[in-house]
Amino acid sequence: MTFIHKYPKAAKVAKANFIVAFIALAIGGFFGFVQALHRTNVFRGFFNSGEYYTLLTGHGVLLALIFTTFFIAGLFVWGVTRSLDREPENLAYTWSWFWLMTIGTIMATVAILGGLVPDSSIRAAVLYTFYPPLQAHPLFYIGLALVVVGSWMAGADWFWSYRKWRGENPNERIPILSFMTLFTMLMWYVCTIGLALEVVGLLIPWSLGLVTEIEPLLPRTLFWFFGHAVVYFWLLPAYYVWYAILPKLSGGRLFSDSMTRIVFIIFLLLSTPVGYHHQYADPGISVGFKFYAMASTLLLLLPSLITLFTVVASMEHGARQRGGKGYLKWIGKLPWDRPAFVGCALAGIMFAAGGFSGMINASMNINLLIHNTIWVPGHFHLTVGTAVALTFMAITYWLLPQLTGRKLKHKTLALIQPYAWFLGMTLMSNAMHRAGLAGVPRRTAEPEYMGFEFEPIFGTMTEMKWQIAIGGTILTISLILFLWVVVASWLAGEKSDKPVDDHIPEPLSGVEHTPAILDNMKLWFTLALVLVILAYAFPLWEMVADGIFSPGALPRPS
Amino acid sequence: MPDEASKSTNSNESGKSWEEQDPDIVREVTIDEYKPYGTLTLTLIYFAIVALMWVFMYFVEFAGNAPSIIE
Amino acid sequence: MHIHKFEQFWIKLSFVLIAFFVATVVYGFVAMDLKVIGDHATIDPQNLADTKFGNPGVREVTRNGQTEYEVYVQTIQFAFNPGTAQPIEVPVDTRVTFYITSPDVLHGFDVAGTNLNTMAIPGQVAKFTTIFPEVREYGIVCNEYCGPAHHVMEGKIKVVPKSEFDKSNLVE
Ligand code: HEM
Ligand SMILES: [Cu+2]
Ligand SMILES: [Cu+2]
Repeated sequence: MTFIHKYPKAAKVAKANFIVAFIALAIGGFFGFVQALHRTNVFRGFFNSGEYYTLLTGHGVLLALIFTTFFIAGLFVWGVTRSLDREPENLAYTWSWFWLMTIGTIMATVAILGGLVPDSSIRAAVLYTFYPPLQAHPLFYIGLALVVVGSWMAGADWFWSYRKWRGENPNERIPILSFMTLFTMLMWYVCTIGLALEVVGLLIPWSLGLVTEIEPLLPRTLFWFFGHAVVYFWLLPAYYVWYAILPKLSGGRLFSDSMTRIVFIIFLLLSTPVGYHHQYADPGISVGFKFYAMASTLLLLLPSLITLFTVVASMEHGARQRGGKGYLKWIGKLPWDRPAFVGCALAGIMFAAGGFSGMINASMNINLLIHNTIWVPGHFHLTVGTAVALTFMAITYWLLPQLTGRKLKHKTLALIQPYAWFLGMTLMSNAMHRAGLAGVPRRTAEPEYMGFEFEPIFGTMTEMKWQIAIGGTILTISLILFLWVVVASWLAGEKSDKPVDDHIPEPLSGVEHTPAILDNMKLWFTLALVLVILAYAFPLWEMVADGIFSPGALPRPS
Repeated sequence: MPDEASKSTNSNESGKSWEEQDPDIVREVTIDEYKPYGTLTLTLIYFAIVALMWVFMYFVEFAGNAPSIIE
Repeated sequence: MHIHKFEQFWIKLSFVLIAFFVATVVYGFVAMDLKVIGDHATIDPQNLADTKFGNPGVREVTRNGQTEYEVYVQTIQFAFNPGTAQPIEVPVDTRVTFYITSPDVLHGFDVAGTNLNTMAIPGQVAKFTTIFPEVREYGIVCNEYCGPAHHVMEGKIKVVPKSEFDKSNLVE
């Protein structure tokens, strides 16, 4: 018996979400390949430089917003169902959020890809941050809004299951998989307030022509109200995998249940009131707010540093149970020949490196050294592009058999895949970081200028260009391997009653040691709202006091 | 047991712990005997790298990258 | 609650690291003059003509008895005005204050290879002061996506010796 046999309905929902996620990954990944070759001037024959920005919008939206959201939905359906031991409460409701998100995705994708049709009036080359006054077709904003509304409904679905479960189990502690899901969704509700205000309150009416002028700083600020927490919305499900599943894949147990819960609570509290750290270089925001955001941001290092310890200690526990010895020699005893483990572990290593560049980004004045340079994509391809994406791919090797009742095929290819991703990303990302230090901008189709040359501090421009192009190519190959393994296993994997060992052992320090207050969702949610109000009420008030749409700028076609 | 493991889809009937069933696991390490020395070592190495690189990035790369915004 | 003593130690170290980061940032900000821009002024992006941005360029001002320069720059799709058609010329070792705004969409104003890096946002005036320490040319890059020809948007700053600074290009 595995998941699909016990919960056939939930398995179907999870699989549907994964299908959309992987299609988005395939299209978005292809655009990434084109970008890597185009930017570096290795090959510009696919599309012209004006179309580059349509592709880049597609890459950002399909990978950072769509792939992540759908994968997370599938993962959470699996975890909530399993840990509460109940199928979704009402399947019509469950499928309605899935279809709402899917329709929204199709609308946004059509709006973006319309930009590749000559003279099309349906365009959305506004990138995934869609700062006005560059204007996209209304389909784009409405589609994204539907995705978000669908994700809210999905969250409500999991709370619904939880309430039912609570009714039947009044004295039990929230199972850890559900705990992590619910706290991630609470954070999502807090941060998407900003996005909803921006998109529904400002951008949709404006793109429909109901208002003509818009004040650019206000939607930008609302976007970043959402925009930092969204990175934790991607990351926390990866942490969820690292806390709940990776210890077992390493042959051990989660080190501490309490620390896991504490970490998720800190993320709920601090993820949103830090958004100004994306606006250190913005006029119109006082230095005091920037400083406050920086202090809170650096405090957010704490839960990630705790995660580092707890997760590594859980892996070390596994290694020691597998016979590992010594201070560092135990690392060799980890299952470096199992794709799911390898992917998660390599993702974690890259995250440690990305953590460092994140510390630089977060630290107010030094941010100006790298703000809007290609350093920043270098950073987040380590975090969302690897820590999150590679973890999701790796855990698919473990989840898919449970959802389909079929064994994984092509285990060797599946094993090569995470190593290839790691190699490709090492090449691409280190070069992006160094090029950024020389001042090479991000989001630029042809970062070559007539009047001056970039002067790199480490390495040469030629070497970096080739590392980005070759790294991007290796990443693309890795992605194709992943898709191939998934499709082959899904369609033709050997059917089995127990296609994978899906048992999750209890933590070393279990929930019996965890203070009950950590499970008090009302308390933590209220506190999170208070912190957001403290951080944002005054600056937002200042921005709208002179009129919501003024000083107003006119829309510009994208 | 409140943990979801007890409801896991293959929770074992044999009463054996998971460790005893997994052929790759040579011995069970209990919480009382487990001392994560390896983790401490790794995290300290990480701490040292991050602190050093920070000083370098801040005081050499950034501060030495004038002109800067002075007001 | 049961937190292993190694983990307790690591949590303390984490706090030390965080405090150390905040301290270096504050130290740089206060003692080394490594500032960020703040809140200066709002402006009507559709009526820049009536402001100093209507006649952009380098102006000479006297502040505290010192000669300083002010540079008003408009970032437009897809040029810096001034900066693209003719370089922005300023003297070395002198305080120069930039005022930057945009009449159309968001742009970036990044002096490549330096810490001068700001956003240009319609409706907001970005203001920062700097001193160029050496005689040389710098490239200006628009590092915020601003439309289909974003990648051609570049400009130049020419830092000249004080003695060679040509005041005939100043604007009133
Ligand atoms: C085949 C693998 C990939 C390659 C070759 C690739 C390549 C690139 C390149 C070259 C850029 C920079 C474009 C520019 O700034 O001009 C970029 C941007 C970006 N990538 Fe990737 N990428 C890959 C995978 C991913 C994944 C898996 C994610 C996230 C899940 C991701 C998220 C992003 C985002 C959010 C941007 C920024 C878009 C923007 O600035 O608007 N990428 N990618
Ligand atoms: Cu952020
Ligand atoms: Cu631009």
